[in-house]
Amino acid sequence: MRIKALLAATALAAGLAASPALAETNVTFWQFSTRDADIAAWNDAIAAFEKVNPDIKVNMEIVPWSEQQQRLVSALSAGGLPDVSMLGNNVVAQFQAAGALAPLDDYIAAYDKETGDDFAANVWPGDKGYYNLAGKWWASPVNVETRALYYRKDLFKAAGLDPDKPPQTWEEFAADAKKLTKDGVYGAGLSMSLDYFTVQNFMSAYLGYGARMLNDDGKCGFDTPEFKQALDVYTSIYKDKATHPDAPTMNGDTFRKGFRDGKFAMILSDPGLYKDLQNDKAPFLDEVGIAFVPAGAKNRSGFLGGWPLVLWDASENKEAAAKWILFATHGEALKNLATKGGFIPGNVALAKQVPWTEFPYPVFVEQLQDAKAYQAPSEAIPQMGQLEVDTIQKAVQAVALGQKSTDEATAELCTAINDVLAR
Amino acid sequence: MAMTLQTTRRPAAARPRRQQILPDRLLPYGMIGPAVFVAFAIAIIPLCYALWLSLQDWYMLRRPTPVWGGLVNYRTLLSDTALWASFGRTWIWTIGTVVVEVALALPIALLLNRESAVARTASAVILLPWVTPFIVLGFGWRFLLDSGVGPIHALLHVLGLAGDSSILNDPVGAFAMIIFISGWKGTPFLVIAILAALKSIPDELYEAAEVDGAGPVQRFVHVTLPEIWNTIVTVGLVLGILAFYSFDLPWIMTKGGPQDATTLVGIAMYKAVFLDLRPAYAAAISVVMLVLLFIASLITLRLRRRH
Repeated sequence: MRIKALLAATALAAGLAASPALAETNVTFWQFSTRDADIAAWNDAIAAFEKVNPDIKVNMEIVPWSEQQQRLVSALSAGGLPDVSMLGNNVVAQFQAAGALAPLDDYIAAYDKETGDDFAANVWPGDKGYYNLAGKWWASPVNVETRALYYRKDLFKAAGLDPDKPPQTWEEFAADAKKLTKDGVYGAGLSMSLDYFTVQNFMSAYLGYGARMLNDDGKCGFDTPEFKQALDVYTSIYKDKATHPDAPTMNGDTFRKGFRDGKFAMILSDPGLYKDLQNDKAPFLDEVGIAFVPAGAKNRSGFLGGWPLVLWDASENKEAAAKWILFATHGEALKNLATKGGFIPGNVALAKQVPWTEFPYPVFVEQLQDAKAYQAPSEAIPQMGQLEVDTIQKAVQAVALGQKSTDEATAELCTAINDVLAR
Repeated sequence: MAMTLQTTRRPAAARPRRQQILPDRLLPYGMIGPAVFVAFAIAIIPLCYALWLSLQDWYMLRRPTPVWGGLVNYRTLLSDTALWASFGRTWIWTIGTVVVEVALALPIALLLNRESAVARTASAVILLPWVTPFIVLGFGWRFLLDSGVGPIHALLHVLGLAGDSSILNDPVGAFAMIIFISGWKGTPFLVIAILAALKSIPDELYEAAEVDGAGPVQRFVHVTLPEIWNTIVTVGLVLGILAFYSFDLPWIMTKGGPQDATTLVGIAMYKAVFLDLRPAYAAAISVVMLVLLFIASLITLRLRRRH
């Protein structure tokens, strides 16, 4: 009898001990930032999530931004995708078209019902085109990014320019850059290379002049006077020697570092640059002004970057994974991530709160109203991940280096874009 | 007689019976089995997979899973002029890299082929470029070639090889410079190999040549060079194969530019897989690379000197 009781107690104890482990759901999460502050913030978010969801364990793996595309494509073709990952906003359509993502609509509806939130209303207008495809939501934004014009007021004064009147148009920007170039300082940190930084800057110019990447037939729409004018104005800054002589082969980080080192008088960059200048204790920090990106002949268009969290269709734990996505992209968790990461949250309501109401954020937040996708006003296309890498940059580089005329470069650019679209 | 018979009929002392895991006839197969298994796992299976993949029709944006496509990728490849241009560039790159390696390694190895503390120290130091990762070398050379602060740029500027901007802005200059850097990185490996070959040349050969009245140049041409020739060809072939598959250096230095000036097949293949999401097409490129390289290797090996 005693043995029976002992066995029963042991079985009960074993069952009790085993039950939480059996019920625990593991969610794998690929996080792309390697910054210590970001990793710590993500660990805090995971701890907070696991506290309210003790049956779910989130396993974060750091996959650096520079490797994420290779890792994701390899995993997509050979297996091994995570449940959840970050993703660049412009490649959401690519992986959605590949059938690799799962829609979030049902989970969002349940979340909105439970919390009283309105998911769609809090997504930035430009982001909707990236994340709402074919009538469904495929991503939940964490971060949204746009670029503003950083300029050195002290160098403006020294060049005889009004420090309270930063350039308003691309023509003014080019003219001021020329005047500011002297004594080893270049007027503009403007890239002409085969780098993302080039297209991220140049898109403000071509959209501002009214050019469109895609015409109404869904083919290349760049072969227009508007695009060619934008290309001429943009590359004139290199031809006038108002940027670094190596601009056709320099990468974005080098320009950014150059501004921090005082080698450029102007640069288009994100809010994080101001944080870097503060950390550097830059001697010219008080002389740094921030203004809207220059406008073109038709409008002012800012770069629209950012990254969301996505749910991979191969996930076997979609419900738990979606819970984690919606937790991390809302409320205190997102606020903490954005504050520590120094970025603007992808949630409109949150971006209207402190600290985004304080310098330097308001100019960026306001400019987000004018931030557009590369292909605006057309809808997101799956091929953008390919087109973003070296099509537009090649045209800019060729014209800047004088290897091709504006007409030749534009014609070749359209051939390249149409080739990719026709595949 | 009876005793003799008894002696001859007596069975030989029984040898202790060996515990055989494999019968003797299977032993050789058992011994080469692990090596064959490893070779199969790391070479044959991936090769077969690449071949199979190259026959699929798989553009991930249009088709989430591969379907049989036959020769569709090879037909596309044949009409891909940009790809063939990158193949042409890759051959120039490969031959150029090996030429730089031989041109630098031979004199260095001859200088180091002497018993001195300086030579021993230099032999160790000279390995640095070989063991330094491409990413470090790439950024280091970008700094050296920077038009503002780069000392190598200043030198090239004085020599008239670079203008006010970095040589990397110039398509021909950038390609030539990166070929040089590629060869410079591979030089230490060839130096070590040539040095080993030089040390194995018997002194008697030099003594006999000297007796025959051969001068330093004749001794080098008729004794040294023939003795190290096979080493140069064999190691040069290995380095050439490595160069043929290059990706890192031109990608880090110029992203394949300006325009396509430094786009090698390795870069084209990388873009096909990771940017264009066309793994099957990339597999077809790799198969063609393999075939071309195999033919080139056979031709190169015929250059070896037969004793």
